[in-house]
Amino acid sequence: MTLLEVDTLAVELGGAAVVGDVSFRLERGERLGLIGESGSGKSMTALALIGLLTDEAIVSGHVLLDGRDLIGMAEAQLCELRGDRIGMIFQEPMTALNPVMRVGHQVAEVVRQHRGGSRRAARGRALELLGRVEFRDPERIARSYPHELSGGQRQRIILAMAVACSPALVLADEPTTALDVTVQAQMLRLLGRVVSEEGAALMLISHDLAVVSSMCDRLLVMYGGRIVEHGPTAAVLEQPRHPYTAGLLATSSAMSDGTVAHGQPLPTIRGSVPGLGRFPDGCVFRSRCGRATDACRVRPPLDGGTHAFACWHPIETGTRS
Amino acid sequence: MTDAGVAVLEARDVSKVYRSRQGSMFGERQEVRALSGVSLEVRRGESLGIVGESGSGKSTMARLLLALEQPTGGKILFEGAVVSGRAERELASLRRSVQVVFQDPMSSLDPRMRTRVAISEPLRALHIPGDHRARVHELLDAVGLPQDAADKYPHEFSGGQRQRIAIARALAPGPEVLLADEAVSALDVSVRAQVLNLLNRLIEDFGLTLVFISHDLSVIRYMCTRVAVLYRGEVVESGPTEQIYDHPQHPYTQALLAAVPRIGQPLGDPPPQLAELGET
Repeated sequence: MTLLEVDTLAVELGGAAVVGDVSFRLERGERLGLIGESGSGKSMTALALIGLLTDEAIVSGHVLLDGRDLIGMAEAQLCELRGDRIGMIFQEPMTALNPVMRVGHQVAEVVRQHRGGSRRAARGRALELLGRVEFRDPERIARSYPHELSGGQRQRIILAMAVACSPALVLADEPTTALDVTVQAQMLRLLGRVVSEEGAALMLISHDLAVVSSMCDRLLVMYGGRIVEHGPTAAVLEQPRHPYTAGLLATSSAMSDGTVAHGQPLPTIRGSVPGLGRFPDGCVFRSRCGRATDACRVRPPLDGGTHAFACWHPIETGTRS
Repeated sequence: MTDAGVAVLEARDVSKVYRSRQGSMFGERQEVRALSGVSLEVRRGESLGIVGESGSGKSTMARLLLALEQPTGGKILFEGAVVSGRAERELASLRRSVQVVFQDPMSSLDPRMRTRVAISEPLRALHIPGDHRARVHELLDAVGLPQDAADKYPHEFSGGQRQRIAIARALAPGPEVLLADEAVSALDVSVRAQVLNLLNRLIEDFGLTLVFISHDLSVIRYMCTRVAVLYRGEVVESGPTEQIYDHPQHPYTQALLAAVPRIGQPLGDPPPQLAELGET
């Protein structure tokens, strides 16, 4: 059953289209990965989904959560949804935590705000949540202030807050990017486990293809504010159709698999990501694409059913560029 | 290459303790032991990787090898001569021969300085004679930037281009050793590969020795012929790259390698040693 339906979502900032024509569905309990480099519009998309962009941003389109449109919804109603039906985790936990409040209190506050009830009951629920995010001594952690905890511990507090009200959707934007690799592994496992236990859907946003592909059932690949490819994780990895996806996969896997010998050149994508609002018209990737022709001056539609791509000259099936 | 295998830079039993200048009005004087008993050598012509997570002491190691700080114990040697404890005026040769590229070119490049001035700065600082203007153009060429980049300011470039400028500046005095401290960590994947390819080409063309310090195991694996793994201020394992990656001996190295997510592979169960390293 569809939990979230995003239809032609667009964000305009200072006259520049930073996100355009983003449409996708997220089923209940599904795990969707959104991958993109800086400037791809992935974080803008995330913020637009939950109404957290500033007033200068012009957002259009529809974001239906359980059939209710979040675009144009009053802030008070959005506040009720965020933290309740939608749990959120961002890159930097320190900015999401109140530095002068004990963390147990902060977790309890989320429960009280959305569920009401006694302080005593909220306290009990907070301790239970701290246990669920694998703190061995929840009582001690609950008494701590954010600065007394490590980055990984703080992010676990945020996870406890995100799932405090048994959300239907957990939206995690670069949740492990600031963490060390050993802590990242622990955090990703925990995120996966807690989301499953809650039966929540996960939308995981990252620049790291290994992170999203190890966690998610389906992938959305964004470039220049647009979805360029979309499909089941295995299909996208085994048979990328968009030249950008293929390039990203080639360069990422060459480094991480150690398949390119020391001293041999790594595969690259030529050029660099254009600045905000400087992507070409037509296909957003054509200024860097080896396959671009005059046809690419016209924007290709995102076509192809379950495995869709927006390209006039896709990578042929059965080959690998 | 001549002198192959000779240590050009060496750390001998080096420790570094940071102390707060004095005790606070209430409470003890604080001490942080960043490195303890670290010995490693950088041999001429090799690419040595120093890998570690936050708090491992890898940035302290970089500052000691660059003689930007003094070790609390032990010695740093450059071409066999002790450099730790020497006065700045005795370090001319090291300053010229060992150059560095840091993570964030936006903070290592002066925003008000044109590229030409930034790249030729080490030539002036080190009193290196010659046609600096011509040298700048040669260097821009070497790092794959157009000649008109010389008259632009840092904000006019992308992150990858700025890192190329930082590399050009490091190469200006004709160093033997290039120390890269998280030099590609802030770059997007597609740009990172370009900069790594550039570094490899420059190492080859200029016969550079590389010290590559990073938290990123994949990048270290690709760039380096030998690796030292730092954990809590100590080298827990070191050796040829393949040996470290294919047959890690120390539990920490094993945990570190097991923790790296792999494309398209579900996360496995944590290795038992990771549970002990993890935070509870």
